[in-house]
Amino acid sequence: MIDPRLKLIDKKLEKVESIILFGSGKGGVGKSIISSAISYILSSRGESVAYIDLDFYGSAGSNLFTINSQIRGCRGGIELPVSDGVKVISTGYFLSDNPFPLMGKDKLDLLLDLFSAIDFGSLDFMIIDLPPGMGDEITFTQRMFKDKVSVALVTVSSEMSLTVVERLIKYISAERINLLGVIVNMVNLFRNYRLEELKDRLQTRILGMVSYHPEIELFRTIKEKLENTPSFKNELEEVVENILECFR
Amino acid sequence: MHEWSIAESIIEAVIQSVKYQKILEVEIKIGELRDLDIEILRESLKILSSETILRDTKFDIIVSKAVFKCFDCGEEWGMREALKIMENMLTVDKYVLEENELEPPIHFIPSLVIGLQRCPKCGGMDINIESGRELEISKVKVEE
Ligand SMILES: Nc1ncnc2c1ncn2[C@@H]1O[C@H](COP(=O)(O)OP(=O)(O)O)[C@@H](O)[C@H]1O
Ligand SMILES: [Mg+2]
Ligand SMILES: [Zn+2]
Repeated sequence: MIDPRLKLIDKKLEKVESIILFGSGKGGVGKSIISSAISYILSSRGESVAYIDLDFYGSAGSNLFTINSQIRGCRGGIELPVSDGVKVISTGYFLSDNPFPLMGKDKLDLLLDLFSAIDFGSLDFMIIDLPPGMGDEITFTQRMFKDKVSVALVTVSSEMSLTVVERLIKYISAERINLLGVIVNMVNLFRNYRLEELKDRLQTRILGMVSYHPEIELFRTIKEKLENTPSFKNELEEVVENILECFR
Repeated sequence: MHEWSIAESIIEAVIQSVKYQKILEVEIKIGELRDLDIEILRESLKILSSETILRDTKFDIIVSKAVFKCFDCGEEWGMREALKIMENMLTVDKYVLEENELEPPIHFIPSLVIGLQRCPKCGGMDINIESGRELEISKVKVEE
């Protein structure tokens, strides 16, 4: 059996330069906040960026990037809507608050449908917001997009989260996926590690340390969160610097 | 709308799947949920293959009806009912605008349908798509 969608996907991603997957061992550590912030900042710096929300169950993308006009379709498939300068897609735009229970085969089918139905155009960066853990989404993107793919991991500095992220780092290096490094979030809430300590412990690049900024809760979109919380934005700007450094 | 590009990818995939043999017959399975116009697909395959080594190949398209089944109570339903259930769950902002018409998102992304169904009998959400989402090249028959 041959799935013709695989060919379609190859074509749709031809002009996508780099794909960065944002993963984590555990949920609620800030993948969505951080990956959407990075998408927004990259785009403000003139890069052409798409933010793809693949956390179908815990989907946050449609809140962080709001759209206020009808999504359009054309011959090439769905045109990615643009929100605050970023091309975005999330199942949240189509399903709203309907729960979306997906089992193995259904999930793979959705991944194939999504990537073959969307007109990505040319992109410098495709930022992918993953669900927690090592699921189908990582293996799928890695197998489909191979050399274009790299991973950035998000963790908090709690012992439990660090232990799980260590495991994920092992998996990623065993699979020979390019690991950009780790972003440590909400550092002031858990043990206040120094950067060098974390680097030694995780044996990988630390892309940045981000503090807990309770104020961001007051705003809905990632643009509002960043533009109203300069200290938060500064930390993320630094993460973006370090990520861009990996591609120079 | 996407019959042409699907035909293109079918032809490319088939050509890549063989070495030097002559391809006699290709069987393609298409589910109702794919929302494809089979006649346009057939025509696209004919036009696109005429310039390739598939010019004499016979394309056999097998269409399967959509069948949904509830795991909780066993109820089964088809496409017509499924579209009605979906319409009740979708507000207008969730539709996709194509050439001045509003298409439901499953027209582009059929597998979203699983998030847009409830069992019409018991209201359950644990639903299986028994058939109807096929999009595959199921057989490639070559000359021995
Ligand atoms: N640095 C931070 N400062 C304040 N709140 C944060 C920070 N990082 C994440 N959060 C909040 O924590 C919650 C979980 O973050 P989220 O990005 O959804 O995690 P994940 O995608 O890993 O599940 C969200 O409510 C988010 O706003
Ligand atoms: Mg998330
Ligand atoms: Zn039922």
